[in-house]
Amino acid sequence: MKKNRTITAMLLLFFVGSLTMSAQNEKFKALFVYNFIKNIEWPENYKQGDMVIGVLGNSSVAKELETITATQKAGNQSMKVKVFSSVEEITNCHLIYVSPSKGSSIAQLVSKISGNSTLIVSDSKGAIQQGSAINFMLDGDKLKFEINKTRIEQKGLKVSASLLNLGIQTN
Amino acid sequence: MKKIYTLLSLLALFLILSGNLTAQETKKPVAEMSKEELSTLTYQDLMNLSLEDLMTVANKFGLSADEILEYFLNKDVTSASKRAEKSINSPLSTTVVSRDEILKSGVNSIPEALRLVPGIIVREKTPGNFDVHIRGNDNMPPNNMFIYTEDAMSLVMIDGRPVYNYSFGGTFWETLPIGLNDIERIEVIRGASSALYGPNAVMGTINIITRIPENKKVNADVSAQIGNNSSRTVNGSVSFGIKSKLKVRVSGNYDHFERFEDDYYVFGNGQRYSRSRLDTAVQYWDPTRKKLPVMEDIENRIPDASLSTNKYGANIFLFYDVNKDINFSLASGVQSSEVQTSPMGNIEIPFSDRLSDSRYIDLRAKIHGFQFQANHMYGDQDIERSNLGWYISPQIMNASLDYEKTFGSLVLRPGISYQGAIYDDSKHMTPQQQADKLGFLNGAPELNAVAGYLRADYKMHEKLRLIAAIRADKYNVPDKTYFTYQFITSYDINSKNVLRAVYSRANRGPFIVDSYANYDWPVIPQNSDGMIPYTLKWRGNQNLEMPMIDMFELGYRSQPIKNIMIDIEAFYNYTRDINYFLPDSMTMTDVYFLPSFMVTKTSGNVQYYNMDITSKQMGITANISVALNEKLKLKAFATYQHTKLDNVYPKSLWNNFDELKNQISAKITADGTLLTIASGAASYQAKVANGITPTAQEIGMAQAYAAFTPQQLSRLGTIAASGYKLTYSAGNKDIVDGVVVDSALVSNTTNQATPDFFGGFSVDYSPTKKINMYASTYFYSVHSIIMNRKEATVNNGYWRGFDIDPKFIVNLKISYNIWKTSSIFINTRNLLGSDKHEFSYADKIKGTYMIGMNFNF
Repeated sequence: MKKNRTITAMLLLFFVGSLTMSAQNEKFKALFVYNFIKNIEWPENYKQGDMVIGVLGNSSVAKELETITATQKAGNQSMKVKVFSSVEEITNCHLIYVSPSKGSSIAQLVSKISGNSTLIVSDSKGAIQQGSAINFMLDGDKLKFEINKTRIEQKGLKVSASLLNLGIQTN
Repeated sequence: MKKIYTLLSLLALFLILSGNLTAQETKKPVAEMSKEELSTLTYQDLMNLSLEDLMTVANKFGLSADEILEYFLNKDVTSASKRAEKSINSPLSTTVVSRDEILKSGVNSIPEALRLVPGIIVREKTPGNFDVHIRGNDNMPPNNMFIYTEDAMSLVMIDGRPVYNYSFGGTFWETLPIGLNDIERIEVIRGASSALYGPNAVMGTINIITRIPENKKVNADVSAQIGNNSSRTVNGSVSFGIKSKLKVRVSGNYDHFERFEDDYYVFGNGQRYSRSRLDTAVQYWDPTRKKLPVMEDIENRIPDASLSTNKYGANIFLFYDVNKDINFSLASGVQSSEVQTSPMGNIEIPFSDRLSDSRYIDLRAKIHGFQFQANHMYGDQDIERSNLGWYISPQIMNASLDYEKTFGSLVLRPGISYQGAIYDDSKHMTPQQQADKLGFLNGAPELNAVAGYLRADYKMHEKLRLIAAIRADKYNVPDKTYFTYQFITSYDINSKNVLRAVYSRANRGPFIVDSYANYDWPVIPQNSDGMIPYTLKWRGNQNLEMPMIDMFELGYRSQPIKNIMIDIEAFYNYTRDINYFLPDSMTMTDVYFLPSFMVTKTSGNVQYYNMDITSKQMGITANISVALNEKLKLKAFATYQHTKLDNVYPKSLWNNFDELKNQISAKITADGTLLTIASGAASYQAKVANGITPTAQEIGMAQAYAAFTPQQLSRLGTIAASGYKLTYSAGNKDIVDGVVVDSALVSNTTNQATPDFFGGFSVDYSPTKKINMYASTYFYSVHSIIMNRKEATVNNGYWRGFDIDPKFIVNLKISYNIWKTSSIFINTRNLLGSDKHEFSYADKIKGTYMIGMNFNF
């Protein structure tokens, strides 16, 4: 009996201790974003300095992107992650990931960055209709993405055929 | 114990020392990798993948997959919500055993694989034959028939097809047609969930999911092993594609195990006897039972004393995928088994042979949001060999139609189902035998239920999920509708910590025998060498309430860091309306007083009742899985529980029969006394009339006769009018209409048949890509099963259980990969050879040491 109690107590202790730790879960989305960058070419004036990846809203994708950018490069450019809590704060970026919680700000974002070569990658249903260029979606248990070629090219970006083929084209 | 620690320390040391050995091998294209191989990719590998490959990886794992270890820790599970989701998100207490674990661990049967699952009690009765209970509620009601040791309150399914034994309840594990090789994974849900799965999913649900060929290439595998005690198993399968849309898989399995001993425990005196000595053994404890036919029949009943399991099965699986929204699958198979295991009835020894030959066909279709399943199983089952009453042909049909529709964050899943079971014993009997009620049913009665259900899964916001399921089952017997329901809340503290709560109500379904038994069991047949023939009239009850459970459960799941998964659940079960099998009356027919006293026929009536007994169980199960790296994975789990039984009626069937017999004896003695006095008085009068001096005794009797009351005189008149041939009956004085009349007769106790503490742990270690070592242990604390043997109770009041001592079972399989996925292996079950028995009255289970091979082409 005494032994049983000790084991139970140990299990409980472990359980309480683990409550304080949390973890991330959006690794694949970050890896996808990294791959989008590999498959897209920005205009010449964007090929200098750091490659800036913005994240709008609170999302663990930002943390995952930091893990990637710490060791990887986009061509010759180092990569940097900037987190913004609102559209107003946004400065010039190469790509901006709009977290699901900020899905409703896409129209506002589009007008804010009009004229820039900033690629919008969103993560909410219907975002493409609002002006996003690439949008994550779930098909059952499968992670897929919608992609709008016209919108990407309007921004002066070049997109690889393989990226277009892997995505669900919306135009 | 010391031996175990030494062994474990050695093993641990070995694991630590060899932890640094690495074998770098070039990786093949991800599209060709299996899930297992993909799980060995590092984060760096993932970053270097092309988007196409990355999508392949992401979609093979599903979204929440972490890099290496997620697959092991957090498997897909469909049973709990009827749609695929990650273990961490499963709203119910769920565990998945994968094909990989089954192969690596070396388990020899499906029940043994359940020893890798938290919260399950698995005891081997004879080699290859197991008792499996989810969480407990064992031996309910206690001190009754052996069949009540079966787990009648858990539902086992193969691909959603119930394989429940509706004759008496429970699962005849050896009659499952599939082998281990057919299994993709086993999903276990602990806790009441009949709102999701229908009747009998009371303590839990086990859904065995079979393999689907990964591609259309011809693929064949065969595995075989052989060991001590004539143990041998063979499994094989071939899969291939036909044209572009049809995939076929054909498989076969064979298992053979023998007992470690060939003698038998005898209930009468608790001694063990060889089969040939069983007759004398019976004489030894009760000289009046010297020629009990059942004992004489043992050569027929158990022709091979050493055999414990001999079974084979063959299956064919067809998969036809029209497109991603429409697919069909069809499975069909046969099985044949002969096992020596615990009996259903009350016989003199705790074993009998059970034979089964059955076939099944199962069709499943998925058309857009609709899911349809229909199946049929039929065959012959000799539940206690050479006992006529137990030879039954079951036919079981199930059909269900579900539809799933998503409205934003609400998923609705309505459905309807039909379940039918017909058990026919008439085809194994002559019309005369049926007329004599020598079969259990003497016909082909049917149980059926039509059900409608609805499941709503609502994601209120990102963190809060609410699930409600309701189900109504309309049974033909009892003629009633039962409502069951389940309410589940799950709250994601964050993506790696989930809290959940469940309340559910579930009921067991009816059994054929409990409902329809109409059996005159000739316990002592006519012409039994001077013994009074005795027939047990075993009658079903079509108005029984079904046992019902209310469950509360709190669960917490956490993946604090990527390679640890913790799962804790606390549960409370309240069970009521438990069915009891007890005598309600006894009759002695044709009791002759003249020319000499003689009883020619006795019969007892046994009935099914609902009694007031309730069970209240509280427990906690904890499970920790740790994947230290891709080579070393550890799992530990344990359950601590306590079950309180209230209003237990402690007397056994035999105690009741004794009391009924005593009541009748008292009546016969009273009548006999009246007759003796009357005849003494008559001879007094005759002597006085003839001037002879009567004896003192005759004088006394004449005086007594003169004092007879009018009632006594009238009774004498009745006896004389009957021609001195009477029938006596007595009714159960304790129980009237299922209610125990005197509350002093019932008491509160604990359920001793469920161990307080049970669990296991496993170490899955691959020092190199070629070698895998899988050590697993399973243990339980002392417990005791109580059965209604009269003899078992004489020493110690009403109850004398049969203790099952604590057992710590260590298993080890070491496999060596010789080519691709083909391997040779050493497989030891119960490595330390502990020879304790694992089930009351059952066999000692010793060590099994096997060698084998597993080839894939």
